[in-house]
Amino acid sequence: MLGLEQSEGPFLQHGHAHVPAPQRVPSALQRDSSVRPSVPEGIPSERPSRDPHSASVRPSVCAFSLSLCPQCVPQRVPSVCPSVLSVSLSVPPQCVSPQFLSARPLSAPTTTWRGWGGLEAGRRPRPPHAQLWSLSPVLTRAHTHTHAAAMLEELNELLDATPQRPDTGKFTLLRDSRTDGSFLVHHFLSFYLRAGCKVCFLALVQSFSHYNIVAQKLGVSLTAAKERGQLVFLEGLKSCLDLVFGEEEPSGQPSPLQFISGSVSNLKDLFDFVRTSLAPTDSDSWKGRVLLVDDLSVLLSLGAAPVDVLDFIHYCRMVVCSQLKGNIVVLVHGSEDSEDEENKLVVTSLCHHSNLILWVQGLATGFCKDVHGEIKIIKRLSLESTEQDVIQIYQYKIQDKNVTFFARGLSAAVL
Amino acid sequence: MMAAGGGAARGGGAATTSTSFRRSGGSRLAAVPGTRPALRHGQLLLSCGVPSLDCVLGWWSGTRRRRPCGIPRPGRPCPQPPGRAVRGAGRGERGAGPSCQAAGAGRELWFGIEVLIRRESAVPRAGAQASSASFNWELISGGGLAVGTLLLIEEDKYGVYSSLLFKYFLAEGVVCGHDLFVASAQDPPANIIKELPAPLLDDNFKTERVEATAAKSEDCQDSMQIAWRYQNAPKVETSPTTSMKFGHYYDVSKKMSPELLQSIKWHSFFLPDELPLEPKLKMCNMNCGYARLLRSIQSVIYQEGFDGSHPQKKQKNILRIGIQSLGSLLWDDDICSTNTPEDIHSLTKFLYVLRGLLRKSLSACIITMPSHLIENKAIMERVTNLSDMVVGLESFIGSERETNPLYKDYHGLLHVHQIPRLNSLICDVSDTKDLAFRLKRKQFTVERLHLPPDLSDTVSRSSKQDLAESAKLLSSGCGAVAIGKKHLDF
Repeated sequence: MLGLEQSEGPFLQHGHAHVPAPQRVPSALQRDSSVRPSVPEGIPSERPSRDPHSASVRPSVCAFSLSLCPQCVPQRVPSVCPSVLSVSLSVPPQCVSPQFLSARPLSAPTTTWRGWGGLEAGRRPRPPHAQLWSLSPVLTRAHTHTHAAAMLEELNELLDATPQRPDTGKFTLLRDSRTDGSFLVHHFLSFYLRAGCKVCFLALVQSFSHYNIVAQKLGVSLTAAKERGQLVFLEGLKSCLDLVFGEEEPSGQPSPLQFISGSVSNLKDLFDFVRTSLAPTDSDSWKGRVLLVDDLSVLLSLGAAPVDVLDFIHYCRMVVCSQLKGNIVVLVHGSEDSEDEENKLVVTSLCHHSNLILWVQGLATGFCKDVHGEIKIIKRLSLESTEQDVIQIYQYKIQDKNVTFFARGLSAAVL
Repeated sequence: MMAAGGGAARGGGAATTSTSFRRSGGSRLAAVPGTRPALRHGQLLLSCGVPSLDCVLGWWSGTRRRRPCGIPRPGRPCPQPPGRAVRGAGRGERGAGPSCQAAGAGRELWFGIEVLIRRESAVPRAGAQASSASFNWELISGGGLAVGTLLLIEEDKYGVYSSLLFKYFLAEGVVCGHDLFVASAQDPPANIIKELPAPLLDDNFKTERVEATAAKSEDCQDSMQIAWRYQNAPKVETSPTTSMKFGHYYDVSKKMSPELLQSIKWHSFFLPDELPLEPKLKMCNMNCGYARLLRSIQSVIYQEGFDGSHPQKKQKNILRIGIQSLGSLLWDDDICSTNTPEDIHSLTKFLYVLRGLLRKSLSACIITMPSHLIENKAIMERVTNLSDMVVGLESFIGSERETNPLYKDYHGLLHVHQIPRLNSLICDVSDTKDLAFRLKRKQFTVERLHLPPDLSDTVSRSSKQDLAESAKLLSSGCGAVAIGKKHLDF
């Protein structure tokens, strides 16, 4: 498993298009029960057709991926084929954490050449960037794809977090500029629900059904969580409608979004909502308390002053992080060149005292189909001391049910 | 019938009669006329009246790896869902347009769909119903405006093309039999309705109508054949039935016939008429005009049952809401006139409440907004965040680009500022971001921006640099704007 093996990377990269005939397969490979026909012999200087899905290429992909992770890859072949085509070395999945990838280059990969006709002919000199290939996190993708798609596993690895032991007392800021960072909200929602925390979710942007459908894709049911009292969901759009068009509340209870009506200027009602919903009771046995906000910038659009928003967050921090030893996760929009001064004030101030910042940015060079953006992970080791922050930068690609992270420039489409 | 459908999907050689048939199977599945379900996020989609813009608005992008078949190609007619558009069978692969390309080469498309089609076409269904292959094709090709979402059009400088898009959106509603809600502070809604463009009644449209009637009488094949032969007979035209087809083409040079207009129900909101009636309507510190408009939309939605409150009520229908030049001075909003408006939150509050209304009802909304007049850019940023889709129009009228030879084929550029995130992690991103629009003699189309052929070897184009610059500006997707000339991401 640990043995790294390499295909003919260079000939996949250069040369003219050629569609090899699938029947010309080395017999040694055919006998291997798990490995399907592979790149045929005799065409070392030519590459298969560009189309990863054409029948002649797909088998070779199988050969690659089977060698990665025998127990899980076979059924996933179509989803990895374009990337694996260009990745040549395999590393066991457990070694391919992205930290590993970015931290050190693989110094001396032990390459075992599988018995392909073209390769047996002689060891051709490896291209200078072959080592890079060996570290492609695409392999990780192949792995996570196959196992249960719960949260974004890769992100957990990057953050050193597991649902088994969630952090306590942390303030996490999610910030996006020039792109959409809501996938992080979905991640943290499913993460904390899975971790058995009691979650208060201020969902101001989308409807409940949206969050529920995405959460189901990530393996969590919000309706079930609501029923068992684990999730307290404030649907901003709905309660805003009730506030604007609804008649007087029969109970006399003010709406959490009372500030919209202008009768009060501060966000005290919203804070009360958070406090009561996260208040510990005798019977519950939740592992922790979490406040999740998507997104804070909406409050500004609805007429709250920046100072009120900061006050609200401060109060929440006191209650959730300090008293209840829980966590807060907050999403804000805000790029550096934004002209929204109020929003900027909120963002800068929150950045200043968060324990962890996940900053998602669109690519500076514009839109790309295969790399959706860049994520900067800023870990404050301590808010008090002067220790340097740990900054990691990755690029990511969002897929239907998963997000893959890779070191910069190591997208499967680029390699 | 099944065999014919499957053959079309594989070889593109189906006869015309059978292809026109296949659609009825697909349209039967969409319960509301003029809509179709989106495969990925499960939302109903409706057309905004410009099929090429539909493609831009929401791509069914799933695991698709190839260039989708519906993206408009330069110099070609707008894309149509492949199942219906195979008119000349056996044409050349590239000359046949995107539709044939898709229908003709099943293996060209991604793996999963191919399997899906094979499986579908292998299971024959009772009756003469269409193969569901065509149904799938309809779903994967092209996008549309999802029901419950808000499309914001940033007006071009003189509001020429944005008002055109606005009318297209409403006209599509008329043709599909949707209810309309037209709000304006400038032109009386009755006038806007009167000036809607006439639908292009091409062969497809006619067969479509015939089909609708044929589907009712349940004996598809025979009546279809006969009616198809007599489709030019005037009796088909006399009763304007609602069309089940998704996306129509319009002739801007003609006005819609009054008969067609009478067939639908429309509501109007004209601010000058509203204001004097009730002097005080303060809702959440919102601008009076906005508050009244919200109240009006809300009452239409609730009274007409678009919120699904009367499930026993007959046929479900869609409400199309159009709001013209929101935020302009005529709406009594000062965001256009000053950098520090008195009430900076009215517009954003309005949009938030409107979004809530839309999400809870069977409705879709188009808003045009004179964003170039809004001094305070912070407002525009917030507005963009609160809308589901934001499309900016930049017309060449009065700009130096009008005379630029590089842009001679186009009338303006189309910038996509925001694309919807709906029920999924990914948002629909179309493959291309460089889009331009043009108004042909009769039609408004959105196309990929491309360079005119550089025919000379020696003479270098002086404005090449210029185009490179503008192309850079254009390549902003999902809000990602290219910044910096020398930046290298990977």
